Amino acid sequence: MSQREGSLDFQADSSISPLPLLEAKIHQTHSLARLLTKYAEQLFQEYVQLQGDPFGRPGFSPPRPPVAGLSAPGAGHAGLPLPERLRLDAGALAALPPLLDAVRRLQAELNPRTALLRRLEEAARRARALGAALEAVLAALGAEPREPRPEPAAAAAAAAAAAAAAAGAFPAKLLGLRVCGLYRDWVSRTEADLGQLVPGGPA
Amino acid sequence: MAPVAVFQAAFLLAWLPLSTYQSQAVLSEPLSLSVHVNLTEQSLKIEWSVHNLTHPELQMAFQIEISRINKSNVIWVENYTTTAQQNQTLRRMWKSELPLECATHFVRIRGKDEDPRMLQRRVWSSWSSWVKAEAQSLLGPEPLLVFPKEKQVEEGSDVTLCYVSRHPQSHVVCKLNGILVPGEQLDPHVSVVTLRSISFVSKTGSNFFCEEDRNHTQPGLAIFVTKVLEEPKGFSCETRDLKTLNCTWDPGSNIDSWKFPCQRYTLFESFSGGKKSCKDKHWCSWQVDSQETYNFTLQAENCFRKRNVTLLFQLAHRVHPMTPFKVALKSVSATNAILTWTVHPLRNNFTLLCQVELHSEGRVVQQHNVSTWGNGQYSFRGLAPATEYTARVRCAAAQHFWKWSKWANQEEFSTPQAAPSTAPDVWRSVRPTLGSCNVTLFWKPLSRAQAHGKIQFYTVATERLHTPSSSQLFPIPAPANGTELSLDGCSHRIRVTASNGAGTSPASVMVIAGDLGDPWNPGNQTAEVKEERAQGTGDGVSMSWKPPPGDVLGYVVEWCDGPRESPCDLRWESLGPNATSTVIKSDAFRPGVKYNFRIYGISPERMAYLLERKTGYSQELAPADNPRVTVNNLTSHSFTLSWEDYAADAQPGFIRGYRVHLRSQAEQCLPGFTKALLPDNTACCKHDIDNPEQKTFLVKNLQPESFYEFLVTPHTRAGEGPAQAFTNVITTRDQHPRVLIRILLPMVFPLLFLTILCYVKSQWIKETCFPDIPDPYKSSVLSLLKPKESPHPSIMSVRDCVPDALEVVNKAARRSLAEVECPKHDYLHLLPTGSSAGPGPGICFENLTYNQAAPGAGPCGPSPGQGGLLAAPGGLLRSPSYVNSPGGPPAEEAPLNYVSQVAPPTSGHEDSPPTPLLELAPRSEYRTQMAVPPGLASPSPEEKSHLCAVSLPDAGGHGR
Repeated sequence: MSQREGSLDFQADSSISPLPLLEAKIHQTHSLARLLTKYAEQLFQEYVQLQGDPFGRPGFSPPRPPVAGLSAPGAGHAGLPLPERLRLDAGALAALPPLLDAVRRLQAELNPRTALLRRLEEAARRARALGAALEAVLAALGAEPREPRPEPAAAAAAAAAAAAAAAGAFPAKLLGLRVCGLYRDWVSRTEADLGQLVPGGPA
Repeated sequence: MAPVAVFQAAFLLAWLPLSTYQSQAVLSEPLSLSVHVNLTEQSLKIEWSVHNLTHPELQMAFQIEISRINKSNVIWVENYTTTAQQNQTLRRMWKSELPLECATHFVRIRGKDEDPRMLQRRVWSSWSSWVKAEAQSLLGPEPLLVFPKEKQVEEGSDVTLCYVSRHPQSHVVCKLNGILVPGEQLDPHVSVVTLRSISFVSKTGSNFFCEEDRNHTQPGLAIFVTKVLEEPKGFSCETRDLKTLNCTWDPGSNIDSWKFPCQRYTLFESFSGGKKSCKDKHWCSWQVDSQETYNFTLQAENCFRKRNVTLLFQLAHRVHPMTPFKVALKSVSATNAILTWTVHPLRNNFTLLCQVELHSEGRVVQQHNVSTWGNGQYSFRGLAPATEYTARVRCAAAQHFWKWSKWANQEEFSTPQAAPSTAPDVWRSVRPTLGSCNVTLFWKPLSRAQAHGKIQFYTVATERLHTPSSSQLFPIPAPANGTELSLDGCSHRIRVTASNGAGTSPASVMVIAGDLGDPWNPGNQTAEVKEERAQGTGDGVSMSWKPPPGDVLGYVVEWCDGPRESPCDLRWESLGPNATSTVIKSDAFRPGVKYNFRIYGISPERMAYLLERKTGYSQELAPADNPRVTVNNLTSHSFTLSWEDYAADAQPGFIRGYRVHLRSQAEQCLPGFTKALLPDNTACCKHDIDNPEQKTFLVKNLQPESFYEFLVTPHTRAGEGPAQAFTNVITTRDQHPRVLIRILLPMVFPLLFLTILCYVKSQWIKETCFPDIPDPYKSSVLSLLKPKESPHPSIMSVRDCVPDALEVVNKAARRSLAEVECPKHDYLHLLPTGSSAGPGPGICFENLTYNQAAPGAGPCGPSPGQGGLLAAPGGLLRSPSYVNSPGGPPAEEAPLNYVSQVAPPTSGHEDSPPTPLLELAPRSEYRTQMAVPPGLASPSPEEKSHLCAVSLPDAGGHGR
């Protein structure tokens, strides 16, 4: 699936007009984002169910510190120019896969032999695919590429996971909760931002 | 002496310290005491070394004290004995229940030698200095911290947790799995939370976290709870090849935490001393050598405890052979087959017991046990031809059975066909016609066990009885179950055979005689046999019969499978010669349907003749409808119920009788009726008629012009007819009063006329013959007098009179019976005295009315009222009292001139008519007022004397 989702090479056939191709690319990426939004919500619910009480309780809202340089979509995100928002979306999607992998490794100790591990692995792949598709849309739109991170996302995620693991199982569960929540929020945000590019979508 | 004393004192002072030094080996305090905090294991590592030992090695004892928060708060004291060496570093580990991050701990130590070589007294050394163990300095900058980071405990144990808050004024709330747990403050920053008897929740751990109201941080930890280790159950070992033992067990509900899996199983063998760590928690294998006896111990172990189970056995007793293979069948014939198989080789001469099974149509038809140690085989015998079979085999140890192996693959085979073994079961229906005979033959298909293959055709051979050479053959292809033949005459012998691909069955022979006729023809033999009832059994009909006097080859019971009205679907059942009863069953039998049966005997000549006829139901039902009842002969006291047209034979059961239900206004039932309850719980009266042939019933003893309701229901063995609506009937008006009026009225009027006439006549006679005697007591003059002056003021009392003389005159001319008896009383004559104001000089009264026997009494005789007067004791016999009054002369001697003729007392006869008044006459005669019955008209002398004797005392009493 990752191959299919990630290989969105809309310039393969030069005989086709680039505008409909871009439109199709945007539409396809938006559909992917919408699909991942649903999957991300399912992943989040499954995660909190497996961690035990109080993670599944509605009133449980532990503090949300930044995770390995990845913050939640800000309150002013919607006010930013669309290209900037898409660049932020692409950056977040690039940072999420190593974090999801780190969470999967932590959960391998806490919840081995559960479907959650497979879903975390799939989520990481899907985030990569969506990120790549979004980068392609940005390139087609002529937007400037996002700034390279000073630190590789994988290393930051590994450090965060190691710190959580050293702090104990409860912080590790909190880290996973935070990462799954970020994954859900950024995929949802990406779907909303791409929706503005889709013909007939919100302005 | 003084210098000596001073010397002694100085010596003692110098010796005592020396002796003290020699008897007490005072150890210098242990040096180099250090304490290290291990937060992962929540323990303190205590290290120290001892110097200046007197020997290179010395047995020593140490005492370690641990204080918490402050040095005076000693929470742990441990004595430790070991062999110490010069400058050796000694170590002890102490685990803290309270997380070390939450409190500062202090440690000190002292020691003494315990070496038996030392003769001195053993004294503890001085304590070392307190060494501080502090982990709080390692904490981060977070405002609220919870310790330890994580915890692994056994279910049911207590857990001590703590939290450190940077702000003493903040409010901290802690929860375990969402449930609030209180904390106990250890110091202004530290609180301790103790969880008692913690429970297992999930493998992913229980979450404990705290919240601080100041900054809403939520630090927490996961507590991994492990179930208490259970003893393994069902520990068992067996071998399949005598090379490897496979031991299995049920670990129970042993649940390890996912993060800290520490559960493991180890197998120990005591004879060999072998040990093996098991990779799986359910089974473990063990290599077998020449050892024959094994004593295994299975040890289950987790982080907190161990459990052991043991098993002692002989290897040969735990052989579970592998599944046989190369299973095959050979030499399969119509009745035999040979099964062969191979078993996995074990040791030499290890005998196996193999079980072979033969299945057919889903059930086991043969089962045999065969001993073998290599290749095995078994020969099945008695197989049915043309039958599909399945054979299978399994094996176990022959000498010491332990377990069967799995069944080897099933081998399916079929036996070939053979000739049918049994003659077809044939029956017939004969219908004679002019010059010929129509015979319908029926036969039942042979069963699989009889057919021995697929029946291809039937052969019917007929021959005339008297000309055997005139035989005819009729082949009829299967699967026909009958045929119809038109024979020349009705005297034939018929043979029927069935044939399959392998041969022909024995023949079924029957003889049809011309004079036997058709049993279904009512004008023939059938009519001579009386039909009897057969008993239903629910699913069939039971019947019995009397065997005929001659020999029989058997019996045949035939019937039609449908109701009487429907076309006959002929069925029969052949029975042996010894049968005298049977129960006929058929899937076509329906409850409430009457079936007719005919029982035939088969003679040695193979002719069938009718023995008995039966009729019956497989299951009787209650009547479906009630008879239509008509009311006849309705009168004021009875009516007749009639249901003559009720078809009892058409009912779904034999009618056993009828029940007449009657309801009326009266509470009591009529004679012959008893109270009963209807299905709707209403009460009525019932009368049972046990004779099913009786179809009329007279209801009598009814009330005229009354309302009655009746219902007639038939009943069979299964029950009563339906509870339908009652029929109303009202009895007519009563006819008797009219009859009586017609008879009595003509009689009453003449009687009334006669009565009036008699009354008038009697008045006339009375007036004529015996007019009323005046009664002075009833004189109207008396009412003018005062009653108090005298009860009888106007009447002269006899006692007040002084008779001058009493004269009795005997008059023979008017002698009555009383006069004969007491002649002296008959006539009283009261003689006038000077003072007396009496009337005449001589008075005589006579009252002829009071003497029946008196001459001239008149034709009418005494009236009833007068008769009553006679019965009164004071009426008749008081008259002599006047005679026998005391002081008076005897009546017969004194002349009587006057007697006061008062009316006799009527005590007890107030209602009697007044006594006839005495009639005053210038000379009256008086007679005793006595009514004498005709029988006493001539009393005996004794009676006469008796009458007189009775009268005397009474007279005396009265005279007073």
